[in-house]
Amino acid sequence: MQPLLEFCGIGKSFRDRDVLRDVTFSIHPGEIVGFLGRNGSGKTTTLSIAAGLLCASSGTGSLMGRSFFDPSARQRLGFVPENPAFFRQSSQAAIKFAGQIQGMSGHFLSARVREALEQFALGELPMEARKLSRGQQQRLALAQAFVSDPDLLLLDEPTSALDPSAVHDVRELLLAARGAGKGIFFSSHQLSEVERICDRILLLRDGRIVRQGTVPEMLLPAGILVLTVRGLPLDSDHWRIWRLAPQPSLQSGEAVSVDIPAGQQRHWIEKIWLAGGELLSMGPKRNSLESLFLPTDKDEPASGAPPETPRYERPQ
Amino acid sequence: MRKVAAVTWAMLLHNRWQLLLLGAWPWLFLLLLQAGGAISPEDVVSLLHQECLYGLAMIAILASSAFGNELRSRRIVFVLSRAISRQQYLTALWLSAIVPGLVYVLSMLGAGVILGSSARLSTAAIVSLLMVLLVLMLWVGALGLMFSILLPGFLPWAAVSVAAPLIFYWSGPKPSLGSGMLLQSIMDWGLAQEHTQFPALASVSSTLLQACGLFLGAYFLFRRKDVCPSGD
Repeated sequence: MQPLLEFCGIGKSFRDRDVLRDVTFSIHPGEIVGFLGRNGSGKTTTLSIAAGLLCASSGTGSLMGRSFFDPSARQRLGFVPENPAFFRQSSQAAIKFAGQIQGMSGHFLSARVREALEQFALGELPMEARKLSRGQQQRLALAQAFVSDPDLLLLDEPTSALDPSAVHDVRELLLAARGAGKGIFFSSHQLSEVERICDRILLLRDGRIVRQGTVPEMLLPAGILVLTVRGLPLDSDHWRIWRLAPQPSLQSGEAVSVDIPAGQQRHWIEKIWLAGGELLSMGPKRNSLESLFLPTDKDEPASGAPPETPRYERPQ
Repeated sequence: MRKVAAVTWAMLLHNRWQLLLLGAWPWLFLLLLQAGGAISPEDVVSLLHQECLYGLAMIAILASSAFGNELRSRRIVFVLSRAISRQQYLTALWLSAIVPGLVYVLSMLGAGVILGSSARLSTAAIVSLLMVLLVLMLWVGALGLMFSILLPGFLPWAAVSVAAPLIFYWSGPKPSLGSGMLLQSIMDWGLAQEHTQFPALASVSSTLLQACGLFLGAYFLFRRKDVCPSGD
């Protein structure tokens, strides 16, 4: 299946500063891909290249199988910038204008404009688009992107100014769009939203993609298990057991949790039983998206592949 | 073409006060003159000369600030991320500077005919003057647009205000370079019959060709230019 959007080793420099380096990924129909990274990591630059606003300094790529600068490719694209800007128009005229420059006209356009106004609760806003609140402007920008029923949506922090109810509505819309076979690529700092709706995540740091994969892949570091044990508190005589654990242990009430490499569970369970402890649970360790944001020495540039499984010393 | 018209219309409506002011300007001059009592034919000619120069300066300002304004306001991001080519966008920018010029010329025609009748100037003579002005506006508009793509901030306007007089001065005696001859014909335009004729077609054609060349130059600069609003 041809990707809707493809980046192959794309780099971007402004004067002597490399903003993007060797960025490779693709977006396919029917998937939601989250784009994470701290401020200034290059997310907006990436989206701007895809939308034909910036010219890549190196590498190749395509939008709908065509050049990023081909306007006919953008006919099937809906783009919402981080800071939407409007002409001196009413909300209705702004949505109609967006449809017109996507090549729509006549009754079809009028019907789509009415639908978009209703869908994004903009029907009762008579004032000029530029005078709307930030949240209302963001809804209007989303309505402009949806009016032409695009195959690919590029959204730069689309819910940053929305209230929880509007965030919920946008989430439902994005899920419905995915159900209709559309591709969605969006950057966001709202990690819970990203975790909730995305099929895949790209993590960008200093212009490089340092991690990418499905949400379970990103949240479950390969080969690490968490054991939760009762009866062997850290401050008891048994603390020596935990001192041998490969990762720091954590005590919460009576329970102690410890991370161990997969494959060593039998060794550890026997040790715990022999010491008189009770195994409460054992399961794969889940990362949080927040922890992915924090820079670590383990983050190596990766194109497509998740980083290597962390190595652990075998306990004595 | 429909997309160009939609973008141009949005830009014009956005600057509607500018458009109204340019449309009203010649009529305000007419009212002021008529309030002053009897007008001599020399005053009318002088006024028309002045208004032609004001019109050219206005178009130079509008065209040289067009790109920068859209960039600063970030509206350019919205438009160029849609199914519109850079050429179409540039055409819309150029038209958004030229249409106010056209409104100004039409308004000058109405006011000029009224003034001209009191100075025994024929309508044909005024029309020929305004046609020359319109051709020069197309040229100055293209020059301003090219500089607005090339230079940041207020520099495009500064560049046009230096380059246009230099080009007029340099091309003045050369009919093949047109624009200087046309400006000269505006300044020579007067009460004598031989000065109210439409200038040589060669000058008009070469000025229009230059305008096309400048527009193509602007397109060449713009076709792969990074559109990067400040702050991103």
